Amino acid sequence: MKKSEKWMAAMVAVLLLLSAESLLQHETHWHLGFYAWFGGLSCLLMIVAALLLGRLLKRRSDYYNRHKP
Amino acid sequence: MEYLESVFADYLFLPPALWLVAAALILPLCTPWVRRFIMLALPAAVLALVWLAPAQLALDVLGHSLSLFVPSSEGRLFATAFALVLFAANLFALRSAGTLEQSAALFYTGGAIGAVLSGDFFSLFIFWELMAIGSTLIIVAPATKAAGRAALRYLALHALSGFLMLCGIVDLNVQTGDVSVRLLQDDGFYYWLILAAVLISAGAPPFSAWVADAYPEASPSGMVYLSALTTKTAVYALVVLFAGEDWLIYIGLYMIFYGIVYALLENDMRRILAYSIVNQVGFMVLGAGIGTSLALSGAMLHAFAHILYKALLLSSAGSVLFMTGERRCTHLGGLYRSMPLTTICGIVGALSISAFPLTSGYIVKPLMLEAALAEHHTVLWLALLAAGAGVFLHAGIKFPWFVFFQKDSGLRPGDPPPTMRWAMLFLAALCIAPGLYPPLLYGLLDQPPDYQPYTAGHVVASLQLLLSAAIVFFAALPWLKRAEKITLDWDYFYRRFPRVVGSRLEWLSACMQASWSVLIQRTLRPNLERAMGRLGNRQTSNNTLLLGFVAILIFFLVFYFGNYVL
Repeated sequence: MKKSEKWMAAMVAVLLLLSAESLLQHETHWHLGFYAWFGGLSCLLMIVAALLLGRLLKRRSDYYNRHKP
Repeated sequence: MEYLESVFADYLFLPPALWLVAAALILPLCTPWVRRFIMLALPAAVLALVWLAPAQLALDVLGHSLSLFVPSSEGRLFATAFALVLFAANLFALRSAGTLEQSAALFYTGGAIGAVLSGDFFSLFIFWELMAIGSTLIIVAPATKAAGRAALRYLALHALSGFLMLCGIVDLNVQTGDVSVRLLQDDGFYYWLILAAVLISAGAPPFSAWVADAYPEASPSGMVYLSALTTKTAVYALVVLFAGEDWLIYIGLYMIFYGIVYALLENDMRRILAYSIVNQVGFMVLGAGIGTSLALSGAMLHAFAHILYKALLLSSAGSVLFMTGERRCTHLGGLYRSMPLTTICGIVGALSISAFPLTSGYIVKPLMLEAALAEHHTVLWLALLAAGAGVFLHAGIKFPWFVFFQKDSGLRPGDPPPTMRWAMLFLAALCIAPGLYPPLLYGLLDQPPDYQPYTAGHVVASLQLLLSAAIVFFAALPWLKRAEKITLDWDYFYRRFPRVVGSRLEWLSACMQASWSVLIQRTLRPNLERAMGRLGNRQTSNNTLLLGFVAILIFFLVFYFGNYVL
């Protein structure tokens, strides 16, 4: 399976889930693939936050032991 | 017959915790076969005692009555999970762990089970301390320099937790005269002392760093024990003593997102899982903070499920470490070829922690979302939803992907020895069974939560959330590859900052020493002597508190310099 095919499969799965959702009677008040886009967006946000924080807080792995007498 | 009954009641129904502690003490004296028998049979006996032992059990010690065994439904639920994980971890450790670790594990579990089943604060405190000792011994068991240092830092924090708790309990006794374990009221200093003690053990900020600092230094099997007990005993204490405390909501939120972000930045597979412990405990702390019956049920069931799937994840990571000696994701990868069973078990654990349908996580995690919604905390509900996707991101995909797939590292280690494989299979079964039949887990509570996990709407919603998280993970993969580095945390302020100040401003430390000696000679010493003299009478809570704090101070100084010398 090539890389592009895997991405296609993921997209098909998303479409299937979105259409499954539109067929269902909803018990919550959110619509239009809310869980899909909200989940994706929040993951993106968390990754960006982690990378920014990483720039600030990353140190060599012997950071705490370097200057031991 | 009556005699037999009394013997039965007096000796066989010794609290399960004491059985475990006794077994821990005789374990090193046994032959290997007896030792293995004890390790496998004892958890089953403990489980039976937890559920069948009928009455309360009290001991009179120095005029105080210690209620060592007063099982509540909450306590039984936690004790059951502890006994199950003890069995699995013992099986996992049967061949690989040394006698010190095996013995310490029984001791440690004895402390945890004792703490969740004790009926008064003094018993709780005793078991709390046993837990600190047992867990420290597990961390030092590999006898490496890194483990020794980490254990020292760990012990310092947990001793602080113990001291704060003791001060709190003394104050509680003086203020209210009632030390039975119950929901505490915010009407005295003791409330905050005990809360602080419990939160340190839960890995709350600013002391979250100890989890990822100490646990990964233990042996492959050691971390399985460690992941299950200390933080979850703290969750039990929060649920029983502090339900509805608003601060816990914010502390829980911090822990949830702290765990995700730090795990995303981490390269060491066991540290990833340690940060994930903080993340998961955050959900439970938050549940205790909401404090409604649904939220508390959610927190307890989440703890139960988490103990089992985190043990599964760590025994799969432990198998990798045991077979390859490698913890760094940069040096791992492609292990699915030669470790199929470990890979499958790791994936089952990863799916459970991510709340994938048909696993235990799926039937417990939505309870918290429902509880937030029922209280009209919409923002909280959105945050929990995002956190659910984040759990899949850092533990559900990152761990298995970097360890078992990613690239071919060239390692071909093979699955671990049979006892380890059986332990993983046992835990995997415990993760899947409740997912297939939810009443198995819901039935452990007095009032099972009124929630239907398997409706089409719920399944589609959670699949949407997980799939989108997976897509984002693989799209962002080039940026998620980590290097061998550590991430600074609040622990900077007790591991590095004092040294920086000390080395740059040596005159400051000289000044401080001089002022200390004046302080001690002129003020502290006479006061302490007076306080010691009055300690016998009942109205001395303030002096006792002061003494406690001085003890903490001395303890910290000793440990700080001990750490410095090491």
